[in-house]
Amino acid sequence: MVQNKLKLLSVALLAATLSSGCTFIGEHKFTGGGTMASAGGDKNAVFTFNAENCGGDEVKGRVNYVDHSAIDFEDVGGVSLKAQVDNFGYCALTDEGLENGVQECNCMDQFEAQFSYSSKNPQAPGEGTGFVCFFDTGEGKGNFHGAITAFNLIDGPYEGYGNVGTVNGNIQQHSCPETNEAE
Amino acid sequence: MFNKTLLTVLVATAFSAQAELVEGTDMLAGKTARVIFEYHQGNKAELIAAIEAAGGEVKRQLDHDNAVAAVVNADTFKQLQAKGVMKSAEIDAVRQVIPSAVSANEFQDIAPYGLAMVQADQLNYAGGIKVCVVDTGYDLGHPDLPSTTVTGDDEGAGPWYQDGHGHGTHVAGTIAAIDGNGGVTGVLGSGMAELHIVRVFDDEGGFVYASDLAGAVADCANAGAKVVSMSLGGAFSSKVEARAFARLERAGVLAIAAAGNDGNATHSYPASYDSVVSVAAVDKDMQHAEFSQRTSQIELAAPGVDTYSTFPGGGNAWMSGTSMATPHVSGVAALVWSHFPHCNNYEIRNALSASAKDLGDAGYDYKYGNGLVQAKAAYDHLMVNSCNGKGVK
Repeated sequence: MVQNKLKLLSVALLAATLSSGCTFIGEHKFTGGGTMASAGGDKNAVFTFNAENCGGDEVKGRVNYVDHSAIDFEDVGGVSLKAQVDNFGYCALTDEGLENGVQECNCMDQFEAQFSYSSKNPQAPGEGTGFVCFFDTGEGKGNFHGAITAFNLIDGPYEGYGNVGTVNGNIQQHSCPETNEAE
Repeated sequence: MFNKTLLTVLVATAFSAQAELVEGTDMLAGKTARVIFEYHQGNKAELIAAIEAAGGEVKRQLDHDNAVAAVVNADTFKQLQAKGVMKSAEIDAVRQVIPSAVSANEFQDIAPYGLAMVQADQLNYAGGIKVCVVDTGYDLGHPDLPSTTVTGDDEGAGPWYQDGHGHGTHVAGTIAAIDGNGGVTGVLGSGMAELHIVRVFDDEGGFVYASDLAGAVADCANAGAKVVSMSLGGAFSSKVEARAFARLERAGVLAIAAAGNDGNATHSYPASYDSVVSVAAVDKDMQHAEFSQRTSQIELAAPGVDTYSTFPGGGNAWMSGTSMATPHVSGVAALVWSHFPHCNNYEIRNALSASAKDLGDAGYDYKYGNGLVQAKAAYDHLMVNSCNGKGVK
């Protein structure tokens, strides 16, 4: 238990060192899905997601992620989860973040979604949190291979799971719906 | 120590400068990224003209793959998309020297423990198998290293026969340091190793792109190398680079690369391509090194903790990393192959795996792969099983 707390603390300190002052900027909406290399395994990880932060307080989105051959979770049949997006946006170092010592996000100059997940694998039940960082042109035709630069599960049944990789799939950026001033 | 810090830094350095292609932010202005563009057969000139007309800069032409690598900004990229001149595009992934802990030492006569561990002391090098080292260069003139049997290519990072960093010279020494002259000895030290050096990294270690590495290994093949040793890697695969290594394999070359030092369970490339042998590190007690990455692509293990080898300036140094394990396997491959020159690369690769000393869990495992590479055992395996030059994966 103490070890776990120390691990979380060290991860938090590391993240703070690298991304202190980073905050989410802008309004964004993405949908997509695809595959990437497994976390050490011989099969691909598969994912689908949608994420929207179009102003106001509401952030919406879902993530489904499966990595059946993740070698550190082989004994429970791999990683399988569904998640709700809690925060999403383009993560950038901002003057406001620096002045206030804020650290909203981990991956500078990339899109990031922070989420709460539920395991779909009965051999590893439970809930936890994590974040995913990626970049892509967002043109969605599948002919640009973007990358997931971090898919980290911080706690819960898959605590410690981490993966990165080139994406083979289709990530589409959408315009945020225009807000109706009269409402 | 190595784990998350290095991974995070690697990711940051690899992509923070390349994330500007994303749309929807004002932070894009003036920023560029290096991208590999594939073109349809016959459309190379059209694509290059379009890139240049849109303000991009072509950095490398990959004719075998119908692709070019270019530095572009977001506007350039959009223009190219609009013109429809590209078949597909991917980020030109970063490839770095796999970092190694180093401590220098005064010149002294010492036999690295790794030689006996991989049975290099039980077999003499018979010659004729050139090894290509893609790294930070080579300290030509070092008293322990061959000089007359070494050639090289510069790939924009400085002269191949100089090494202000040390990584490449250390790797080369593990393969080729000459026996019997009072210094250290390499795996091929019983003979005069033939080396081809391709310098891709500068004196700071720096980084190169996947498209550069594809060009470097083509240099190796053009120089007649049969084994390519790469103590380098990066977290992101590249379609074009993967094709380059598959082509190298089909051309009869055995490519060997470091599994990575992040100590986690993620793939590193080129090591994790099917056409490349991925090498893990063990210590002097044949225990898995904590920093050595674990994956389903790990094929062989070799000594990589506190390994002693040549260092620029005529001295020697201890270094640790899968970078140090890799040249042990490269050297053993050449050592064994020199006795069976009629074997092809698949047969040598299969023999090294079949004869490896099983470590860790019984049979194949993710830390050691098939086990510790063994020169004499591989030789014996081929003496019994022979090969007909038609071997396949």
